[in-house]
Amino acid sequence: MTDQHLSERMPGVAAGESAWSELEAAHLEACRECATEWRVVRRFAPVAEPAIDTERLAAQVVSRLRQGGEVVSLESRRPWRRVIWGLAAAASVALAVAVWRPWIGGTEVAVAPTREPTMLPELDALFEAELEVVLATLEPKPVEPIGSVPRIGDLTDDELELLLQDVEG
Amino acid sequence: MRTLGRTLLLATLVLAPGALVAQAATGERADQLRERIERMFTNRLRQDLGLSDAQVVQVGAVLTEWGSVRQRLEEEERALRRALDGQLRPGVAANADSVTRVIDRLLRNRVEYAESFQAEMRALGPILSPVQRAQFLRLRDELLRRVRELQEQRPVQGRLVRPGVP
Repeated sequence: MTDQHLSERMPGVAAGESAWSELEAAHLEACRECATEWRVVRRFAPVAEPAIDTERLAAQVVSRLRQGGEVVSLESRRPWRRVIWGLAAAASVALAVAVWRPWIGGTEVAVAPTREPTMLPELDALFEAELEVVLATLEPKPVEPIGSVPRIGDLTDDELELLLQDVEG
Repeated sequence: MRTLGRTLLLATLVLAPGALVAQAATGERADQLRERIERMFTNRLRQDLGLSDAQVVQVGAVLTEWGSVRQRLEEEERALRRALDGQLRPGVAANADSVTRVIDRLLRNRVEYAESFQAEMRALGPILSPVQRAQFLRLRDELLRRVRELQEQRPVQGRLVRPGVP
C-alpha cells in the first residue's frame, strides 16, 4: 500500500486514461479521505458525448441520394409498420401499468431509502418514468445532418399511395 | 379543546404540501437514472459555466455536502409527517402536546431547508464568480421546477393535479 494521497491521479483514472495499481487500490480502501475524494471525482468526471462525424454522415447521405433507381416495395414495408404500431401500443400499455399506483391516502409520503450522499436529493421523490423525463430534458439534442432528408419509411399509407400514383402517372 | 382545534387546523395546513408527494421509485434502475441525471447536470454546469476540472470537483463537493443536509432534512420531514399521520387518524383522539411538538419541528425543518440553499451559495462564493453563481442558480432552478411540475401533475384520486388548481 502507498502512503501518498491519490488526488493527482484521480482525474486521469476517472477519465479512463489510466487505472489504479494494486498499491493504489489498497490505499483507496484504507484511506477514508482519498475514498471520499474519489467518490466525488468519479461522480463528476466528464460525461463522454456521443461523437458524430458530420462530414462522414453527409457523405453517406449524398452517396445514397446518388444511388437513384432503387425500387422500393410498398408491400414489404407495410407489415413492419403494423408490427411497429403494435409494439408502440404494447409499450404504452406497459408504461401505463408501470406508472400507475393505487391511491392510498392524501398524505402518502416518499419512502426512498437513504442512498449515497447526493447533490440533488429532490430526485428521491420521483418515479422512474418521471426521472426519465427529467433526464430527457438534460440530455444533449442529437445533431441534425445537413438539411433534413425525408425517407419513404416516414410516410403514412395515404402519402405512399399518393406518391405511387404520382410515380406511375 | 379550542387549542386542540387550532392545532389540528395548523397541522392540516402543514400537511397540505404532502399531498403532492407520493412513493418514490426505489431500486437499481431508479438509482442509475438519478446518477445519470446528476452526471448530465454536472456536465451542463461544466459547459454553461465554463468550469475547469478542478472547479467541477470543488463545486461537486459543496453541492454534495449541502445536498446531504437536505437529504437528511427530507428524511426527517417524512418521519415527522408519518408521526403526524399517526396522531390525526379519524376516530382517535390526538395528543395536543405531541402534535404541537411535531408541527414545531416540521416548521423549523423547513426553515433549515431554505437556509441550506443560502449556506450552499455562500460556500460556492470562493469557487465561482457572481455570474457563474447566477448561472448555476438558474440551471438548478430550472431542474427543480421540472421536478415540481412532474410531482404536481400526478393523478390524485382519479384526476390530474394542476399547479394552482385546488
